[in-house]
Amino acid sequence: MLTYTTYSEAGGVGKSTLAANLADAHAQQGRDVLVIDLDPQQGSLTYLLGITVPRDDGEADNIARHLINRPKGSFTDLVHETPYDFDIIPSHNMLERLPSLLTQAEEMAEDLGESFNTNDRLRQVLADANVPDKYDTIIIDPPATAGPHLYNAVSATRSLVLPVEPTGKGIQSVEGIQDMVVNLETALEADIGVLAIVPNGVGQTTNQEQYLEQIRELGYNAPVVFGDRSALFEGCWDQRCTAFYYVGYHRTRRRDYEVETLDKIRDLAAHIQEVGDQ
Amino acid sequence: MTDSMKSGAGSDPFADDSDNKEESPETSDRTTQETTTQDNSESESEADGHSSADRSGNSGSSDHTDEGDIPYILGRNTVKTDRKMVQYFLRDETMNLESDVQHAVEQELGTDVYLTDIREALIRVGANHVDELADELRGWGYRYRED
Repeated sequence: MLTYTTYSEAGGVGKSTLAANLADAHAQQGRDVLVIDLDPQQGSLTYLLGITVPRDDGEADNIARHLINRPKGSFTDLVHETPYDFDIIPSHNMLERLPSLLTQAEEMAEDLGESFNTNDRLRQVLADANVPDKYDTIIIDPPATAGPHLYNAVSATRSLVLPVEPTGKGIQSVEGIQDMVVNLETALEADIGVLAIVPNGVGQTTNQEQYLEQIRELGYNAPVVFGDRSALFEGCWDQRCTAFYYVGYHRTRRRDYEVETLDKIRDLAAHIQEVGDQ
Repeated sequence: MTDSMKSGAGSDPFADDSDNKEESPETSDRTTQETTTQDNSESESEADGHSSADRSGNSGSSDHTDEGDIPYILGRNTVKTDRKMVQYFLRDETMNLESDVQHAVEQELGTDVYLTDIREALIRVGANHVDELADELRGWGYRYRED
């Protein structure tokens, strides 16, 4: 079983793009992949993958309802197929109100004398729905803010893949994430590990080396570094597809550096599988 | 690394809860440690590979003067020796970038470096990174003229 959360403290470092493309790469390697989009923002993984579900229909069943014990249907019906041989549980606007909904659900559970851990709901829901029997890989994409979305994602996966900006600020954000993780480990009584740190948008070679050195000093692994591949990743968002699909179907001629980027994504996926599979 | 995140996998979220609690912390730490050491050595060798490849790619055709085997900056009379003047048009932020690079390189080399040398070196290094140049230009809007 391979489970991880893609997370970054800063927005716009390619978190969702990375999640989508790693899911594609894992699926290409024959794995049964489920991605869960916990980001209530409009431009999220669900959008990127071209999944159209009514996200503002409060009556419709959605993942938030399951997290607060108010499902409108079976868990299986939350799962949608993507055109890329992996499945997704899409985002829903109700996720915006998840913090207060969870608090209310917790109060109600307390009144009834039931146990209810607001940060561990997703793991429970997945376990109850036998998700680990159907999938061998789960990737969760939470929003880039600390809160119950993130905590539930980390609790359900226990492992992290961290895309970071190649700047001093990026290193600081890794340190900030460390604090968050240590608190969570205490609260959840669980070990949390970092499968990979993924520097994204690295331009200059000398900076790249300095940066990798800093990551190593922190004790983490950065198996691949993505250069400034903005055109490729912007193309994914324009066409709403993974990078593999974009290069395969939306490019009229082969660009060696794009093929190289796809290879890096596959290498990263292989590395994550090797370190994280258990 | 008890006070920070571990490199490697976290615990299995879907292991039986009872198993999770019974697992001795020492055992899980030891496995994580092993993974860490292994991972570090891998990434180190990979980074080394990068650096040597990139450095060797930087040498141009005339790092030496016409006089012989004397390195260019040691053999020249002035910074303008063997150089033609070219007029550059740069935006302000690029000018700032130039002086940032100059400071960084001076720090790396531990000596003053002429801006004129920096500029030529920037071009030569840039010449080895055509893909990244193309990406930069796409960002400026050239992508709308592609294919």
